[in-house]
Amino acid sequence: MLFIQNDFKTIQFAVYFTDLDEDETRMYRFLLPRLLTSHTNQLLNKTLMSEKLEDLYGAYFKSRVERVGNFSVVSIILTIVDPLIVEDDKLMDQAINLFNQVLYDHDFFDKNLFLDEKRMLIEQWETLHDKKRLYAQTKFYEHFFKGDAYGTPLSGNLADIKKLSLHKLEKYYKEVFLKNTKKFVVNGRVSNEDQIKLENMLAHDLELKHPFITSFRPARSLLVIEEKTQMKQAILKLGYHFPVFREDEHYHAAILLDTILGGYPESRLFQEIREKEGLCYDISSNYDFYKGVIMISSGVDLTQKDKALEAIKKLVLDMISQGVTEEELLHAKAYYTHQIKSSLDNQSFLTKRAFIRELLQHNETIEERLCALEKVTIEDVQLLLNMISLDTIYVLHGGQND
Amino acid sequence: MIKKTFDRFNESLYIIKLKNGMQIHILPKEDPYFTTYVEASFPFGALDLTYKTEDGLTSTPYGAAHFLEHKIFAMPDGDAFSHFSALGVDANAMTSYSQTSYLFVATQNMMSALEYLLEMIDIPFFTEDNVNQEKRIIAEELKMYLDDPNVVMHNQLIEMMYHSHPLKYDIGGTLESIMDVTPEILKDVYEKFYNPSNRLITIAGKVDLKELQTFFKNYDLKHPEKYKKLKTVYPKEPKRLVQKLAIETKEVGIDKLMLGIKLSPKKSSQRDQVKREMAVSMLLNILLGPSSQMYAKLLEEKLINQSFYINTTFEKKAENIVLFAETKKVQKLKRVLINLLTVDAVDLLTPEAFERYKKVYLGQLIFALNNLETKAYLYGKYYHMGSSLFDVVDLLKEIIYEDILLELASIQKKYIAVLIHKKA
Repeated sequence: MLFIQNDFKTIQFAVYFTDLDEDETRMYRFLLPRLLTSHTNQLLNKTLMSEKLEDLYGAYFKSRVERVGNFSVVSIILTIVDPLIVEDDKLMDQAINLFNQVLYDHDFFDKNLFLDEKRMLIEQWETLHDKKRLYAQTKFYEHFFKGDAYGTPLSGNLADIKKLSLHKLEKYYKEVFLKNTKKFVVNGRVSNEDQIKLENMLAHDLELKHPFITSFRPARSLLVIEEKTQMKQAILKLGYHFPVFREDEHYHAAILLDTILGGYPESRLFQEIREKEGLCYDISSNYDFYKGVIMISSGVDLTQKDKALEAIKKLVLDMISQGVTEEELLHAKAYYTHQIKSSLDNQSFLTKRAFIRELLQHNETIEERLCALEKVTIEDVQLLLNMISLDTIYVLHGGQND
Repeated sequence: MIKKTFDRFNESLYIIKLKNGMQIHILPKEDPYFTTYVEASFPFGALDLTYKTEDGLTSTPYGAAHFLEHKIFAMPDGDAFSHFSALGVDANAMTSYSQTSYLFVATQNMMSALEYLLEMIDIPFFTEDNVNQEKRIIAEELKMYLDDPNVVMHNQLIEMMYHSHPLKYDIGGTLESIMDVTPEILKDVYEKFYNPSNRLITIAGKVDLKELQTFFKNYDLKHPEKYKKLKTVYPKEPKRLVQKLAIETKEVGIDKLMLGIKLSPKKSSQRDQVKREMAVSMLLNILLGPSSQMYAKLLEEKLINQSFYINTTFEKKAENIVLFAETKKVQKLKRVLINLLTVDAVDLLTPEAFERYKKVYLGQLIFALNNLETKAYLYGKYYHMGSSLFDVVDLLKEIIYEDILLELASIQKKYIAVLIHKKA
């Protein structure tokens, strides 16, 4: 269990359940945190759970599932106000007990709550097409990551969700989920006495059972998919193969490359495609260092979608052939250094950072990280630019307005 | 420099008042802390469309405040965003109905960025070319929102509720109205509303108080002029709705229901206005929040899903509540919600729930104070509303159970607009 002592005004109790990201268990892992935080053996329904949280000064649970390389990580975080500020000496005990109950105190799950969550998941799928951006993102991932776990949404496919049964979910919770690698992080002002209480109450962390893997399929010939729907814009998604991963020595150079390409308002994509050409409002690139890919995304003027697509492709090719300038690199370093320092004042970031460092056995200090960024040269970036290759293009557009 | 302390929350506030009327409010954080958040805000937003000057009334196109927000970043030597990025700080801006803010977050070069922020605001640079270019970018921003069926629905519902109040127009304006914006209009609005007398600078996080004091002393010497504050004029808005019911068939996955409750703004002090807004929010949470009997019933009867939300708007001379849900039983949900708000609610408003929500609101204030950006943003918002973020605790104490009942009584069936988008 990791304790981070500081003077934030709130305290976070976090647990991270880690296992392999697999087709067979994906929907269980998506649904479980919702059920765990909605009721317990003692708080039998959502209403009682909500009342309890309100009584704890509006304390709240945040749960999510995410992918870290080949792992699926389910996080459940309870945030409460610092009991000293509200002068409530019972608050800490109540919060610790509630956190413990939510994780372990479930002999069974309420059938109605299970059916409710299942229904809402199905309805999310039924309305996916209404949310154009989310729809485009889902479809792009489906094509770009076809055959890979990333190609399936974290909630699983609609067909899998429909097949879900309460019995199987309970079995998974008891026989698999509770035996997952668990990492606990407590972030905030917590006394030594309470730390011991937490250590004793919550099950101890377990070591990882599987190796951490970051990989993606080899590059392939360009795949272009166009889809028409009713909308006023065109959404462009470009997936680039970029085999540089989190553990690689050139990781920091890759971060700066992505920053220069489309990571901030001074980036080439923002300045050229938006500011100079006026083709869009939003445009950015996103480097996924667990998968070794760069993805560009933009919502562009419908009548100029082909022009915009060509302009983006050309911009990336120009960057590959011409490299980046000293000034660009300097500014990207300043910007990214700021992002790192600024995140250290964010409690949620610190909680997550503590977990990731523990999980992946990262010992690099902030100073070492900043130093590594500072050392990146134009040549390092150029070396990586040569590894970029366009792999998938997905376009969703309002065909009727063409 | 005036100093105030709020021991309970371990917060201090320093206020610098310049001769030109500009105020600087500083919320320092002690080391170890890396980040400084700086925000320049103006009580000028999307609703300030018509204003009174000595020459009479001036009207501007819908979306003028938002357009101006975009164009303030244009500088004679290029884009201000690039300059901020070069300094290694993160700049942004936002326009709401009643306020425009320019901000940056820094962990280095804070004073240089502050100087540049004020320079950017003090040097307007509006040309035919850069204004026309921006029209294309803003058009894409508006179209992005128009591709979201919930935004489209919300815009439609507000038009069903308001006859003439500018709330009926989107903050960004319309694809047509932004085409009417000219450099001259932006310059006029800029001169009327962006002068130092109308400006609040909020600085939170890591600061050097002495350095800031010297900086603003010099700024005051360079900008001594005090400007008169202008008043926005609002057209008279009838109490009644424009349209009570609209049902349309759309390409959507599940039927969507939106209810708009038009409230009648009361003549009251700004402090009372903030209190009323809190009371209405509390009322709705007790009736339809996650711990309410009604919320449980709506889920049990499969009338709502996770998309259900309630939103309140309390602006100058326009107040409303909006409820939204995706549902497969749209008529039943409509009936249940309207009955709840106009008939059944009294029995569900328990004093116990009221007391519990008071604790929740205290907690929410602490959560807000824990995040630098939220704290500074809310500080500016409450300041422009004539209150203070730290007064919220006192206001909360003043709200009594009867206030909630009073707000409930102001919800009337004849002022509820219903919009349904049915699945084709």
